[in-house]
Amino acid sequence: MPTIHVENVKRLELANLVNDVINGQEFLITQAGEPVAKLLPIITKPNRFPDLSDFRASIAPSHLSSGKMVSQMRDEEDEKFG
Amino acid sequence: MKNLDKPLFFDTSALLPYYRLEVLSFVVQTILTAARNDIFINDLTDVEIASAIARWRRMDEMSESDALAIQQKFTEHKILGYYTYQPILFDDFKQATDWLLQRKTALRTCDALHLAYTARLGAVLVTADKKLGQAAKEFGVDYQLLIPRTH
Repeated sequence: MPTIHVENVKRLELANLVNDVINGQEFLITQAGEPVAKLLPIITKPNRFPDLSDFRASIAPSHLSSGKMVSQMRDEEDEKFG
Repeated sequence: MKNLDKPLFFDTSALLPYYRLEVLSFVVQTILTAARNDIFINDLTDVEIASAIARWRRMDEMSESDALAIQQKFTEHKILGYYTYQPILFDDFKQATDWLLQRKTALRTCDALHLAYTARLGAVLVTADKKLGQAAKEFGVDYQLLIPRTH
């Protein structure tokens, strides 16, 4: 990981450093010879959810949309307890 | 859908079409696979998913094996960490109560809790429940209402 002294951050311009970080580079910032901070990219979550088309096709389809059904459930709950 | 980089709270109405074929299944799957941030769920999601499956069985809309398959698939996805569990906190109940006491709108109990939870997490509420979407609009909570397209 490249090291940059804190005094040099201004000279190198933060915007340029951030561009490098976005492209995967990481930097260690030092002060008086000691590491004091890191510049790291924020890792967004990778694509995780699989295609469930085959799974859904194996189950009888729903004729009433979940939007309407769940809304009805919430109406009924409110009538009971509201 | 915009906001795919923001954390999303999928309420039950938006989550169910991922597991059972209906008009919104394709759009829901597209959003889930394209999302690049947390997909939040909470204990109320578990209760409502279980309630929806029980309702389908009661109405004889699906077999017991189908009901079990959906329950197991959802549980599997939770274990695999596809969802980010964030509990509903005391502050959410307090905020929900405050909003309900305003009596400005026909806000339902679950709506108030969902909105308070979403607002606290700084997430976008994704819902297929029109009433919840309307409530989100009225209380200034970031939301995306999924509407089936009619051809």
